[in-house]
Amino acid sequence: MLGLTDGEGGSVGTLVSTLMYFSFILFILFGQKIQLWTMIWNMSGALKKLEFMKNEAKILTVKTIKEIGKPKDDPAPRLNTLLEHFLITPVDMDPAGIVWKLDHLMDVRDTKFKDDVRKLAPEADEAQVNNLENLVEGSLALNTIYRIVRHFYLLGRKTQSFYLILQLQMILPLVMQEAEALASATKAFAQGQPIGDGIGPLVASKLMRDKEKRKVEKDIVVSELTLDGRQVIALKAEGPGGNVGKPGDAIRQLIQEREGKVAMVVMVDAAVKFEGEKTGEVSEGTGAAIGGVGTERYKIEEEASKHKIPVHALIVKQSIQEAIMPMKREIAEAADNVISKIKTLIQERTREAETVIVAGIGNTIGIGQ
Amino acid sequence: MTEQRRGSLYFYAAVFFSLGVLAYSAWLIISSAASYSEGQKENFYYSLVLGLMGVALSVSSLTSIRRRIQIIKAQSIRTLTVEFCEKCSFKRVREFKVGDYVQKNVGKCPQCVGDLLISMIYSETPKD
Repeated sequence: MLGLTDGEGGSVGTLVSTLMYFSFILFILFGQKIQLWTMIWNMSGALKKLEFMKNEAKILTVKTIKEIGKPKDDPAPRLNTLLEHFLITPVDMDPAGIVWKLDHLMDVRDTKFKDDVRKLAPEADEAQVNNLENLVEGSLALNTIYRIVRHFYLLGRKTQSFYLILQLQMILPLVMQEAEALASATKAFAQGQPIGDGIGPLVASKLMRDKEKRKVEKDIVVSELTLDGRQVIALKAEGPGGNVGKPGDAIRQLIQEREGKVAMVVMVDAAVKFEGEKTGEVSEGTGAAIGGVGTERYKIEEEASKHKIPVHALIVKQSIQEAIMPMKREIAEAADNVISKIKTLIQERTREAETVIVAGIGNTIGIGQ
Repeated sequence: MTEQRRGSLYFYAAVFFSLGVLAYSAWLIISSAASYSEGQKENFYYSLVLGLMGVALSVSSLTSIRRRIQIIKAQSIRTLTVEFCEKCSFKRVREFKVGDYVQKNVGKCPQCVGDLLISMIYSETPKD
């Protein structure tokens, strides 16, 4: 049948064994090259997917800017410039005072970004500008991921370096997960939906309901209420636009206003869970629960240690992807559990008439006050 | 819309092709057994190897299609808005609309004419 035989299946056996020997030698000589080609092939697929996600995010950004901001000119060229924006972190050879330098740089970046978005969307109100800023940040992150992966892919292909490609191949599943989450986040930002990271502001907004609000440090709102005879000061970033504010400055200001007479600071934030843990689980800990580059955490730690104020943390567990995707039901439902834990903490750790600061940390997109 | 239709066409084509390969491979394996009993060793080897390869490839293809469907399902999340009246605990769940935000006053409660506020906005993935 194969046209190669002259015995009873003997030649088929010979053919099979020859093929085996041949493939054995082939793998000994070119095994690594074959593996390299397979990895490059896989990576090219991933890169195409990343390019698609980046383009989709950009299209969505332009569409949303046109819909909300009603610009007279085409926003695409200015948006392209924004998507390539970068930040040069301060020199850390002499780290003294680096926190304030970084804080200043972050302020400058934030102001510039917001101004640019405002120019792109002249008819957007403040909350919409904040949402658009988040949307542009999401597109920028996707664009950056795409550029970095493409850089290493092309470099690996050019140099045919197995180890260069291997490094990228190892982290690629995590990179793709993050990119998919960012792509999902851009849709949430475009529509102003709350994201998983908003659990802190959600808890604070529940405490602040029907209470008088005042604005303190940059984009932070504060309400005072009484809980089991204690004076509670709840704070969160001003919503419902996408905003994280500067809770470090706000907590410092509140402590200074009371000349350090604060019995406890409770911080509520979203935190990364380990694989296998349930989304929406609440954990209690000690210390300032706040992410970012670290400047806000530094300010809180400085002020709290200066006045010997205990800082407690309540975290709601979620994956990195869930933190930037539209808020899941399990996370939203954890808010009441967090409030009951705050009450227990206040009852156990403070006395009546004392002052407690409760800070809801995170992005307040889609959450008012 | 046309892109979506094209996508589902590719999907059905891939599923039918994989199922076709699987059926043909199964038939090859069965026919290899017949060849063996008839003493046609050459045909037996040929059909068996080809059949096993076909089964492996089609099963792998169907598995990856299934995985893709699961990923697409996980991505197609729907967002819901919960309207709640604190006075009488009236609760209404509806699809999210642009402009909704937590703590937004959406009007009067249809039961007690108290204030109806958005108490929660969350996303859900469709169940299998």
